[in-house]
Amino acid sequence: MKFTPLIWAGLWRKRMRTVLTIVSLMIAFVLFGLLTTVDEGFRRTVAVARLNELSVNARFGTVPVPYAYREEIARIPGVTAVSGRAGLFGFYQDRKNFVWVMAADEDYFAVRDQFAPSPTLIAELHRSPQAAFATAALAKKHGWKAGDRISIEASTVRKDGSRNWEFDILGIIDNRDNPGLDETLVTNYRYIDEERGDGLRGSAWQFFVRIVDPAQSVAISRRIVDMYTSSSAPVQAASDRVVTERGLSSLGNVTLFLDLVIAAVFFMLLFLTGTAITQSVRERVPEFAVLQIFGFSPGGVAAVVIAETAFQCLLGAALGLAAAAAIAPLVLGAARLPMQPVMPWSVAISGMAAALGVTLLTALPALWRLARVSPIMALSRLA
Amino acid sequence: MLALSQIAAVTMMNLRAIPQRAGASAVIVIGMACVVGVTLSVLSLSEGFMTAIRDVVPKDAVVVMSQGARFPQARFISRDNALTIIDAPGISKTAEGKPRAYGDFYAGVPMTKRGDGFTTFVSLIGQTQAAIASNPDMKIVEGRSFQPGLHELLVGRAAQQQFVGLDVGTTIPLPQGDWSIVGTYTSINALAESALIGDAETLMSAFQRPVFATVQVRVEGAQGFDRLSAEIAANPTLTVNVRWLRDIAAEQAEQLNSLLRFVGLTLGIIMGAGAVFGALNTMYSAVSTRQREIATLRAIGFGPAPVVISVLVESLALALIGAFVGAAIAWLAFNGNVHTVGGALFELRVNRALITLGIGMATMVGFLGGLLPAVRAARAPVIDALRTR
Repeated sequence: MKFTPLIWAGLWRKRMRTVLTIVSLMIAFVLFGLLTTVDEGFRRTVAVARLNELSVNARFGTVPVPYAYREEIARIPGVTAVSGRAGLFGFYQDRKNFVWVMAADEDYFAVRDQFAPSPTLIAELHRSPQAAFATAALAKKHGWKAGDRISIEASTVRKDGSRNWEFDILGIIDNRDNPGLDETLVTNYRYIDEERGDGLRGSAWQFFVRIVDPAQSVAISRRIVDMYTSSSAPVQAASDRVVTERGLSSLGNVTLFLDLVIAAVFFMLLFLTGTAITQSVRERVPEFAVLQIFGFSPGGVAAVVIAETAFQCLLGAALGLAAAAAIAPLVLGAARLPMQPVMPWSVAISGMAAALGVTLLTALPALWRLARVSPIMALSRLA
Repeated sequence: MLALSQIAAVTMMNLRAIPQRAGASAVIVIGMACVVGVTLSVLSLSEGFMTAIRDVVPKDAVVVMSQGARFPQARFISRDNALTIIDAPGISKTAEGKPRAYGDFYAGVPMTKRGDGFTTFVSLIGQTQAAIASNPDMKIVEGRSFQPGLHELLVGRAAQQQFVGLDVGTTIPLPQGDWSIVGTYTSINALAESALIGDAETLMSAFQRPVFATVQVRVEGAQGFDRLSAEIAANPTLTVNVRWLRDIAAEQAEQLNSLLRFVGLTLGIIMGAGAVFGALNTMYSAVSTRQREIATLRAIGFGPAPVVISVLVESLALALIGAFVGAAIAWLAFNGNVHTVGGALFELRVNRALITLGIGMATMVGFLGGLLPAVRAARAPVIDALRTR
């Protein structure tokens, strides 16, 4: 404690240098905060994707799968629920307003429990043909509310030859795994299936399968694929987790890239801070010698240097991380990344830990320099 | 004249002394190298993608597809409609006088990627023999073309390099049994090289999908495009859109491209700001170690301008060296690297425009980082500075 004034005086000896060092540390930690938030976001997207939920798709993309597969898949041991779905690609009012309409059957919410409307609402959805749930994000985008009747122009033609599909918004739901980001209109499979005029009645685009044991996801996926390999409509199956990983991998190796950038930022930071601190120590070698002659142990002098370094690193990191947290919603929102635009606490914690690491790494060269000079030699340079 | 020779003398003296301050000077060089290296690496992705679209998509290629067909699953054009479209005006003709417009089939085939082992859909395109014969961009480099009626496919070289099990001679399971790969093709249009190609009619019957996905057209310039669009819009039996292939490709690239640009520039600006503070630090300490030297120069009659300019030149020179190092690293590490996005394959580009951007950034950083220290050096009272040690 009694060294505090000494450290304080040392820090502000060259005010400009200390301020500049803290500001550049701050900027580096703004970047660290933002990049790590994105990195964590991608990892989290994969982590929340479920292993106990499989999706089954037509193997060649364009061939629809018979809806009747649902019963056969449901009989596989370890499968608790199966839901088949169809869908519409359409737009609302303007071609730019793309809307994805998901046509869900009775078991949909039993498999996909990340959407959790009340049982009465679910029953109501399947009773009334044109009913639909909009996710919060979609409803907000187009200003829809419960009770509205909306019309979607879809690429799928109706029995009467028109392409306008009408829906009554029954309620607003949200995806718990991905709140505020999912944009889907969920409607009734039977309505779309009855009304479609494209000759694909009784088909499904995809099945969602809920299984008991996540460890069985690969085995059950393979079993489903094998069941239909030689049929006229073969399928492929994979867990949600694998599908999400695959989606991210199609962007190239994003996380590796982010890690490389973070490494470059830190390299620059270490060099910059290290040089400033070494220089500041070098200029004061005679002063540290005086301290030693007055009875400071070499360890005590080292502690003073480390404390000065730590002050700059920790203050710069704290300011930078706070700034990153403040601008994260803005920047990540503007980049429209598929993740929550909020910096998690874990990033702040790892940021401060990194600041401690930077402190030690940058103080070392300065200490090394100090240790090589004996107090007598240093004092003679003072003369 | 005197001013100029003073500037030259002070600047040279200054630059020659850089090795004595190697550590501090390296802050600017390394800082700038990191900034430019990272920024150019990110932007090389975007640049490579845009180059692929701008340079290789044929200028006269037009796609006719059903309205709202944003996803491949939703694309279909009946045989009757396809015949109507092929007969429309504005379409360029082959040497035999036939319209260069051909219906094609589309499906996706799940294939395993080399490297990470993930499954990705590879486009399976069904084309007529006439379409392939009239396409000057495509060249078969290994094996031979497929024969209609047989279960045979051609594979694009990019797809072959990217995925497991697409070598000539291997078979892949499709509906109605195994199909053999009989040849490899390359294309000037690199974006079209990541696909499998088979005979349209044979594939349509194997997939039990007796409709075309799109009609691919070569038009007679912009006027041909307008005539084709007008004819199709006037026909009530057709609910299709006519679009330039390059527009479709650019639209598909847009989302990724704007993200990359945003990320690249955000990184560049924030890291650049960090580099400015690093440069300020270095130049302040450079100026303060040279305080007596500068004061001496001033005392013997050198003006303030040579001092200011010499400091600015030093910081600009260091920043530019850093920018070149960074650009060189980005170029060595990424230029010509092959990258895939959504199955399309393209080369990363660190081109002249990007290197110019790096030099521009270095100039900014060098100028901002040198200006204040330079002014301080020139304004320090000569007497006080001479007394300092």
